Amino acid sequence: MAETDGRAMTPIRRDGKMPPGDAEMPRGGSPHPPRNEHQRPRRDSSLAPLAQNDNAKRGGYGDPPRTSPTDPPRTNPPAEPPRANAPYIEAEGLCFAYTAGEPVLAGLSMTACAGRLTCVLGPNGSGKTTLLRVLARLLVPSGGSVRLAGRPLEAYRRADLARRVAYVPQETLAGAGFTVMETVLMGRSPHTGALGFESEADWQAAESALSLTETARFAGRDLADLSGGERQRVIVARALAQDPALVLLDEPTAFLDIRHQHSIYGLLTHLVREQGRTVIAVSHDLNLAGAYADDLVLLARGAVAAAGPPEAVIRPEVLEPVYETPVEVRRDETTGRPLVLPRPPG
Amino acid sequence: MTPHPLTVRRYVLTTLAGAAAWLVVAAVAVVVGGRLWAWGSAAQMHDVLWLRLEWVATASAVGAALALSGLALQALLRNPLAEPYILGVSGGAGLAYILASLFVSVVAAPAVAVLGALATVALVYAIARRRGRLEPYTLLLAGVILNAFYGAAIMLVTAIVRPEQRGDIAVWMMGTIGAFGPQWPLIGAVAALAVAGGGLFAFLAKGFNLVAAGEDTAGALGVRVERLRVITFVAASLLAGVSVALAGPIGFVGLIVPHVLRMLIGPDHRRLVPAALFAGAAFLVLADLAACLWEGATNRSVPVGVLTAMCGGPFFIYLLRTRWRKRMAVR
Amino acid sequence: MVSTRFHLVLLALATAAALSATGCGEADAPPPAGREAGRQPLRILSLAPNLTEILFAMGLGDAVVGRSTYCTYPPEALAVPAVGDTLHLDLAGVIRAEPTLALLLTRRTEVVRRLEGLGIRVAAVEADRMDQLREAIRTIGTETGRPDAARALLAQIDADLAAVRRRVAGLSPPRTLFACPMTVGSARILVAGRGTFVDDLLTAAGAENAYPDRADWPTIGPTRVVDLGPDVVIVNAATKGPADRQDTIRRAWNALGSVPAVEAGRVHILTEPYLTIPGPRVGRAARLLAETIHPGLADEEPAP
Repeated sequence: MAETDGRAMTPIRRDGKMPPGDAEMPRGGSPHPPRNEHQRPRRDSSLAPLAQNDNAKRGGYGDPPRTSPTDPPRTNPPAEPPRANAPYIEAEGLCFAYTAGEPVLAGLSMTACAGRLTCVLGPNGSGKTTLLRVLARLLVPSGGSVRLAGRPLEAYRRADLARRVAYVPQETLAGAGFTVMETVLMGRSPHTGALGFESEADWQAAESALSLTETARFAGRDLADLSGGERQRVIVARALAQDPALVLLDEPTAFLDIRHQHSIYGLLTHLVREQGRTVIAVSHDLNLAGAYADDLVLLARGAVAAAGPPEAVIRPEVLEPVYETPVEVRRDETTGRPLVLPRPPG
Repeated sequence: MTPHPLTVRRYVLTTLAGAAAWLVVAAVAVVVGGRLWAWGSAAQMHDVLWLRLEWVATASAVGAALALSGLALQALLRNPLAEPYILGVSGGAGLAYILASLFVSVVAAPAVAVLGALATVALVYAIARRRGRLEPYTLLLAGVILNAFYGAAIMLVTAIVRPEQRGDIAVWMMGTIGAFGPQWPLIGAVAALAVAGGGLFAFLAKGFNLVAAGEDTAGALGVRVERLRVITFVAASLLAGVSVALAGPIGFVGLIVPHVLRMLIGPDHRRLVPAALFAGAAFLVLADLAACLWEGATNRSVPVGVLTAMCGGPFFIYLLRTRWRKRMAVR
Repeated sequence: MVSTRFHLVLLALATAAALSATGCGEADAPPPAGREAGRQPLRILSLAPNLTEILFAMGLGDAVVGRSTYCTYPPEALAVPAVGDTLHLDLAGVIRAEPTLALLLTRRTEVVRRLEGLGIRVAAVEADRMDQLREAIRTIGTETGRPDAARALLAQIDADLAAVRRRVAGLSPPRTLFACPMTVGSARILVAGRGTFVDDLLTAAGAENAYPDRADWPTIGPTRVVDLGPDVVIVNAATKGPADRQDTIRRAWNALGSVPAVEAGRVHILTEPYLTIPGPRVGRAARLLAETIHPGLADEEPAP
């Protein structure tokens, strides 16, 4: 049974919206909302120095490790930087169906806030990928609306949207023969001109994205020659090079080993904490999401079943009806985050 | 594959270099193909010079148009076997040209051929459009359907005309450069369309790169994929159609040139587009020169389409042995 | 009585035996068509236009019971049922016509085998050249049993040609190119090389073939034409095409200003189809060519 911490539980609203103001959160845009220490991972929130230590120990990485965490240069800061913890993207009553009569999203409403890592969970077929594609404006919902930084999504021109929103798909085609560097540079295309010429700033952004995802040593290699996991990290680097305010990732760690899984989630945490971006990541891994996310959104059959901080969502009474399998929830002693142990019958 | 950033200066320099290379090839083809030094009288040399100029201009325009069309269709359909005639345009333009030449009007035959190409574009669009979208798979299928239909129609025409006309149809379908009688207006139109096509595809090149990484990826990076598909499809088909109207269906140029360029320059379409324009022109000019020299040596005329087709077999063997070894990874 | 019935049966059996001995399956007695004395009637299937012309010129038009689709001269031939051509033979039509003799050009050996398989006597002749034409006429005369008609036709042809030769004797032969333009596209032209039937016609018409090599209708381009530099060009646009075809051809030739024929305005477009068909109209063809190549000739009185 999950042990609740001392903090008052945030009531879960059925429509998934966050309460307008968490009484304990300070106003004023501090990038570090005070949290109960138990909820914080004991390590540094920014994983970059840890990665560099690994680099230094391991040696043999192509680029010499940089001595300070490098962020992609803000070549295109959004006109109005989102206030931390203010909702950056809000979806209301989304309805979508690929084929008529089989709705995939049925009245889905959710919010993701700037400076917070939101993870979307749910069983297969609950509409997670579809939700992301609607948020990225790759699909147009038949009902409902999405607002980005307060403006309706359809009010943005596609080029403007591409400068703000990065989408990391689950699958990527790699047969064309592009190198890793060229692939990551594609992330700069919303910022390059009509003919696509790149500037020095574009190259720097790409290079720092590569080093942040630990893929700099692959820079000259063909994307198709990499393993699935390495390719996944390159695709995340491409999204980083885009310098987006909102990052949407569809199972970014599906093929990664545990070291790289935590590396990527650490990177996502760094993005939200240090850079104030908004990150929404779909995940199958309840424990990974529970360990890193600030907010969880649990989908079931195209609607939100539960939303809130991990300890509010990762509870047996919440998970069991959605996943239709008995689970046991324990608390990780070290991190204070909930752990899910499935207990299949028999 | 080169690690150098694509700057304006580099782009302009390489484009100019490509243009210069083409000019050199064209000049050599004019002089050597016509053996301009060997004519006795000035009037004869004048005639042959203008004939050669016309033929080299035709080859350049058609080669550039076909190479660009093939490159664009390979990007659009994400298929390395795509070539300008895969969507039925050669059949539509060819059938229209043959019918016009035989029954309606010789002068208007090229214009009718272009109309046939446009009608084919509309037909393919109507067949391939599903749920308001053009997808590569359905485009390919529609093209296969139309090619089958047009093949049957041309066979029918061949069967019902007089025996002496059958041979003429067969020879025209191989594709030939050069004609009795000047066609400068038509050559100028094709050349202008080729250059315009090159310009258009230069602006779409970024989009071509991105759709190679996936439709969702491209859309999320700001590419309007549907609009790109429609524009590319129409432009590439039009380029193929006017090429057929001018020189008949010359095959393999639109297939081979983009692939060879990819081997040399890499898959980046921003570099490939201007290269395809000049390399396509130079390739067909050289093929025409080879046909010309052959004709001079053996007194037998061989259509250029035969020479390009003879390059096709070895090329496919090469493709099979290199490209398909690379994994086409779709995770 | 028994004996009468027995005799009737014997008579019936004998009649049946006699009838079956004369051949089976002939339900309808065919009308007598041949002039062959004492033999079975002559029913000819002619599968080449020039062979049909020869048959009609020899007075055997009534014996022709089947023709190919392209045998359209003389006009009387159109009344004969068409049975396709040697590429696609309408076998049902062939059988319906019940020919006893089939005439075709030897280029189609598989058709020969098929017709012989139907029990039809096949006479394959060659008629591509002038000398082959003479031989073909003689062969047809032998096969049809009308050697005198063949000789008469040959004599007429020889007389026509001799008349033409007399008229052009003494005139200097201009270098003449005989070209057939393509009907689809205009990339190349077919020209009569040395040793073809048209080459023989040109010689008879008092011209020298501008194409110097022995070749069977080579394909050449405009550069080669400039190289050859003929003094006279005959363009035979025989196949019926769109209305602007002749204009297009003329404009195309006018672009080659260095060719002497173009400079002198000696490019003639002729549409008569018999110029390339080795047949009884050879004399007319030679006369037409001679009058075209030697402009003053038409004004003279034709020699008897």
